[in-house]
Amino acid sequence: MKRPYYLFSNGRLCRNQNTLCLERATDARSPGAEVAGDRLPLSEIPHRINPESPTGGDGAPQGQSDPAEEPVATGAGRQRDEDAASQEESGAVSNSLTSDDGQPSGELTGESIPFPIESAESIYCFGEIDVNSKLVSFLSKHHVPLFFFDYYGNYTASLYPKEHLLSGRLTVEQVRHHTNQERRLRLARSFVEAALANIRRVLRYYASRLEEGTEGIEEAIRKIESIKKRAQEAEGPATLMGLEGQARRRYYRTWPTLLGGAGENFSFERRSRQPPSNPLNALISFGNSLCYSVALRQLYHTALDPTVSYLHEPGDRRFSLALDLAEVFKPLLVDRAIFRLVKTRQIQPDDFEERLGGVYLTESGRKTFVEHWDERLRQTIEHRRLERKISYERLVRLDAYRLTRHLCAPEDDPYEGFEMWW
Amino acid sequence: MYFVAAYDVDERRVGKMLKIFRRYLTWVQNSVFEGELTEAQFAELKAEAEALMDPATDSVIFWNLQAQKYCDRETLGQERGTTGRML
Amino acid sequence: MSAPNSAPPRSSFRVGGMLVGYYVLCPRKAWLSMRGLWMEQESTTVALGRQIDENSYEREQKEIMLTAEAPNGTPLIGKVDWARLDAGVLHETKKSPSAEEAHKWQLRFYLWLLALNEVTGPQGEPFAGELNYPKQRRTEDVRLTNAHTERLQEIVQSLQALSRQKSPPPRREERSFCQKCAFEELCYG
Repeated sequence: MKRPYYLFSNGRLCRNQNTLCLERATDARSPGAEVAGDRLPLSEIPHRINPESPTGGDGAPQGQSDPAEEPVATGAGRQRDEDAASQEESGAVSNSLTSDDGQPSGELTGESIPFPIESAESIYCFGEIDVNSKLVSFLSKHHVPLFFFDYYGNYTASLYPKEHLLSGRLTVEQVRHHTNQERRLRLARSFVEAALANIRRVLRYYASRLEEGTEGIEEAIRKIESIKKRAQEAEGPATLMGLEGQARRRYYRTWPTLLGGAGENFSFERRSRQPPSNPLNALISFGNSLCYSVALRQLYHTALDPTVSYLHEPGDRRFSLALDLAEVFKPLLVDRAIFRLVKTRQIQPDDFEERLGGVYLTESGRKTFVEHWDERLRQTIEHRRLERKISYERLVRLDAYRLTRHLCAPEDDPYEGFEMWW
Repeated sequence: MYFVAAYDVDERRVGKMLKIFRRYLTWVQNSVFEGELTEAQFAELKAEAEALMDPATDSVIFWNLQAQKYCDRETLGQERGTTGRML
Repeated sequence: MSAPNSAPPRSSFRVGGMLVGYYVLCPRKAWLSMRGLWMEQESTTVALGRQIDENSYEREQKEIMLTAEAPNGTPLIGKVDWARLDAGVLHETKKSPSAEEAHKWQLRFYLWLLALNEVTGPQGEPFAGELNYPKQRRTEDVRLTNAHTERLQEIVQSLQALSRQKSPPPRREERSFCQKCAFEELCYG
């Protein structure tokens, strides 16, 4: 069974004797330009709101399409790269003490860890990892994608191997469903409807465990249901994105209540992304980027072209279909992971730190998150139609297959996004 | 399927056997490996090992533990290899 | 693999042995594979089959490519597993006889290609076929009769019509049958 590897160390990832090898380096990672003094424990910093935050204040009307819903979360491609670049630049300005000369930050320790290529489904680089073209060709040959995260845990890039399953005929159908307004809307709506249904499911699940404050939750559920109704009549993907954003904002407002006692240290206020303004936002951003990568990984193993999307605009991001698909699965995968981690106090306030005006998970916080995340993906559920146990991760693949069926026969076999039934 | 595997082969073939096994399983100590394999991967690994070994003098053993969760693993002394996926 | 990887436009439509086997089992599977929707890359059964195929027999003649034209003009193509030319026998190796009907038609299709090319055995007799199931230590003789040839022509015609069909044929909806298929998740997921 192939599964992901998560590299938290710094070092060099290489191909060695036809398998993979991580040559560890010392832990001297820097974001390219930063000094140790910038790192302050969160408790010592008064809560502050970043004036450059791209989203408005709580409840303020946001751009209709709410394009900022995703960037940090999923930010493949250009926009995200620019953000990262500007972040680094501003870091360099404020810290002229160090400079990024492009050299690895740590020194190789001599420790080398071979690991089997045959068991690697994908590789996540959270540390500072050097790669060379020999490795890239090797990974590509074995169909192993590589995901990179920067010093702060922001998703920065993926190395997506040459597509091996694309079907020209299916791509043509994908594009036809995109260019035809009505067809596109139908799919975009299905993504949003499934996403909202799953949000509602999560709310119900946790509301039933609450002792007090359930009226607030009931009200949020009603609001989200009414948004769902409006989504059925939405006239374009932009409106749908706006409605989805609205529902999410309402949903996020319930989080402090849902988190109960453990949530006392996690105020929310509003969703902010670039950078995340508080721990919950940091968790959401990190989780969403993992969710995006899972959707992308799953799409890679299908004939679907990940660049043609319906809810999101293709071209916003490189693999925008992964954004569409991730929308459906965030409540099950990301939101519930966050609830679990916070409620069981596996993640605590000291798992965060403030950097360059934003709040980020510390490395150990990220490790905790990823460990739980990986476990969660392997969790299984009895699938009704297949009559066997299916992992959460596989559910994403099945949705990609449903979408494929829709593209082949939209009338007979329409796509309905995955909805939690438990 | 979760496997533990060990080999005892002529020293002229040890290096080559190591290379084959490293591609499929995680090295835990000299000539001992463990890890998850699908039926097809297992068949491939066996075919490669068989092609290399001399059945008259060498031996390769696979223990199929079905699933990792059913086996208790206890190490005394140094843990030489890293079996996790968080590196 | 003889099934086209991405479905070609009508002008380059051709039929391979695997596709014939698929069609006999399930027209939907044939349609999907003609569209380039390929599900076998992850199938353990298929990977194992490849293993068995590669390691089971000492090859005398490996992978012979055959082409021909059906009476209705459709290009036919076949990649024969292995053959004993001096004995006039074509072989096809399979992992398990669970889709034996498809295996038989695949092999008959290859025999038909030879017949269309007027290739015969050493004594001028038509080639015979042999299905090999090394795991089960079983072989199955396959012959090409006139009735088979007619049926193959019909299958080629049906495949041609199928390739023009805009949407896939329905599922077979037989759980026990579909559960063994590599396309199961694509159809029911």
